Amino acid sequence: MSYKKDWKLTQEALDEFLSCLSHDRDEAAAEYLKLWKRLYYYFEKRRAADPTRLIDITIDRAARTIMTGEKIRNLLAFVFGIAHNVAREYWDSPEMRSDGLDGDVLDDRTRDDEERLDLERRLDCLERCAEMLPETERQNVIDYYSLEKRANIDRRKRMAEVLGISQITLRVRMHRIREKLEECITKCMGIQEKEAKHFGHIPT
Amino acid sequence: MGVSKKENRLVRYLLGDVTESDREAIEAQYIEDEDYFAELQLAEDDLIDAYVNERLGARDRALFEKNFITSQRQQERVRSARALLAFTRKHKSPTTPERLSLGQRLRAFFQFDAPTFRWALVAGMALAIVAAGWFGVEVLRLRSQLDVAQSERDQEIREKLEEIARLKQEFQQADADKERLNEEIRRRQEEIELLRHPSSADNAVVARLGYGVTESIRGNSPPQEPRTISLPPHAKTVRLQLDLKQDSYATYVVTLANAHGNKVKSRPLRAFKTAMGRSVIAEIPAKDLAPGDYLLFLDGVMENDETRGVSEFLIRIVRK
Repeated sequence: MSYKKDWKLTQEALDEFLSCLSHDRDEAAAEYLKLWKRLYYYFEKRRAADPTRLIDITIDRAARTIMTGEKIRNLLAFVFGIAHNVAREYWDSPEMRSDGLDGDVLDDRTRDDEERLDLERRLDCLERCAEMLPETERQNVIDYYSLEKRANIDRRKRMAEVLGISQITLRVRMHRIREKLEECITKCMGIQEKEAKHFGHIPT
Repeated sequence: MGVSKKENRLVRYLLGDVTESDREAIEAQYIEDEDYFAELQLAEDDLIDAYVNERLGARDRALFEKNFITSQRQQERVRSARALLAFTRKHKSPTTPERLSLGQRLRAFFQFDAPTFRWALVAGMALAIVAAGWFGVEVLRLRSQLDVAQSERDQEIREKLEEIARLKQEFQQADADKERLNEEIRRRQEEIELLRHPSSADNAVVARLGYGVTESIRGNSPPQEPRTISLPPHAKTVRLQLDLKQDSYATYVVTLANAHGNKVKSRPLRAFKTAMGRSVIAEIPAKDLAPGDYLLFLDGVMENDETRGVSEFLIRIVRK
């Protein structure tokens, strides 16, 4: 299977697509980024070697259909349908499928050394990133992630009670802080910005 | 891991441990539903933490390593989770969450997403709504009572005014009746006076003149013959009875005119009940009546004191 390259996404087509997400331009852009993130996750779970490319194909096809004037009742369901087809087509195309993580075959000792080095660098980055958090957030991270097996569940429940918030709110709050920290760590580690930009804290 | 059924489904998906149809259903749902995707991300956080803390069973651990860590991004996440674990172990303080400062607790309480604050707010609003409802009901009840009281008072006032009007009417009626009674008394007294002082054969000469020439027939009647009244020498009064076909006036005046055009008018006279019906009695001093013909005019006196002719009489006075 080869990707058809006879149709290119124009600004007009993209604008049409965005207008289907929201009539407000800024809101449409925010919705587009959220959708992009979910599609990335989807293709990643489908073990796509290049999720970004498959997302482009999906959006192109959706926008092309919209430009023909076809009425679409549920855009997200429509996009998922296209993504599903793209994933199937991709699955039939060996050159686009990822067989796992790239990398050299390492022996166990070398791999352990690599992991230890990575952990040290990463911890160092995390120290610096955590210093940029407000003190209460930093302390909350320490309290929340001080994992002590089973006791952690009760501890988090008590933490939520003391903070006066629900457990789900606590989880969401900690997830957002964690996303910020992971983005910071990734940047600190110098890994590809393209990956970090879409799966870290989305900048305004 | 002590998770809900929904969360467990997501964890199984993340581990690649679901059927194809289940997988497509979950994927369709998180593509279309942002909230569901957020739940997936929370499940992923917990799964990663469980993995780095070696809390996954052997099977799940194998599935995790085979099906989850399949991209650079996910590998980064796992490595960052290890760093996070090391970080928290390094900085873990003996401070328990219960020892938050008062300021932290107050700030936490007044966060709108705090359930205790929300419940307090809901309870406060419910109380305010109940109080407002109670006040509203009380206001309506008191207003209703006021309206009833006002209505009863208005009704009382109306009844009093009606009674006053009725009494006023009765008084007016009583006044009118009294006036009629007084009038009747005067008439009776005059009749009594006449009866008490009847004309005697030697003092008064009584002459009944009848209806005379009334206004209705004036001009159409033949010339009337004068009625002769003989006055004896000792007569002092001439009492003339003028009959009325219709007693239309409260008072009458009698005007006597002689052949020379001299006139004398009586005081207002009332009609009396006589055998002929109603009659006016005019008394004239005999000395004022020289022998000759006289015209006697009977006029009714109207409310504005103007007079209207009722009848005429022609008399002839003869001395015996």
